[in-house]
Amino acid sequence: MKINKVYIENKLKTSFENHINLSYEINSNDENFSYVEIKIKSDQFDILPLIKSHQEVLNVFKDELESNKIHAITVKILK
Amino acid sequence: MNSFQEIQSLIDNNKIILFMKGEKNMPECGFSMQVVEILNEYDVDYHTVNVLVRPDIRKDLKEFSNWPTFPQLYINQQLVGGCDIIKDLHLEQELEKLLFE
Repeated sequence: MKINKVYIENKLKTSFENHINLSYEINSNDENFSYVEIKIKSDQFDILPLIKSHQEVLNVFKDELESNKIHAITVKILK
Repeated sequence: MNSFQEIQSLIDNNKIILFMKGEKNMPECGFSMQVVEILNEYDVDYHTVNVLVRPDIRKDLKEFSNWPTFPQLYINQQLVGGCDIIKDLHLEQELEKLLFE
């Protein structure tokens, strides 16, 4: 499975489908999306400790990180 | 001692410990390097573990911390986070409080 914006978007949508007012922006400097930047916001993230929010977002891509399909993810929880 | 026990004892015995890719004086990943550069701005001793030469710790720490990437910084037995969080804490002058707590 090729990693691209749609792939990342779908995983975020599915993982956080119970989140209210979910919005996100996905960027990458390379076409393979091996380095990804995710800016994300939701009502749930608003009240979660920052480290927990980061943990939740990173763990969505645990397998991709493990297999090195994604090398690194920069997470920004927007307030 | 299995690697979970070793991880626990490393964290217990070091107030500030950074699990990173490469050595403190020669990071082998840009994200680890950024964190080392930030920590070096403070006059503080910290221990580092090179997960590239310890595949067992590299594998088990992800589960231990529930955090899938490196670097990982622990201060006072608490996971502070990876590069993004540390950069933010540094910019917000919050990291200093944690380091000297």
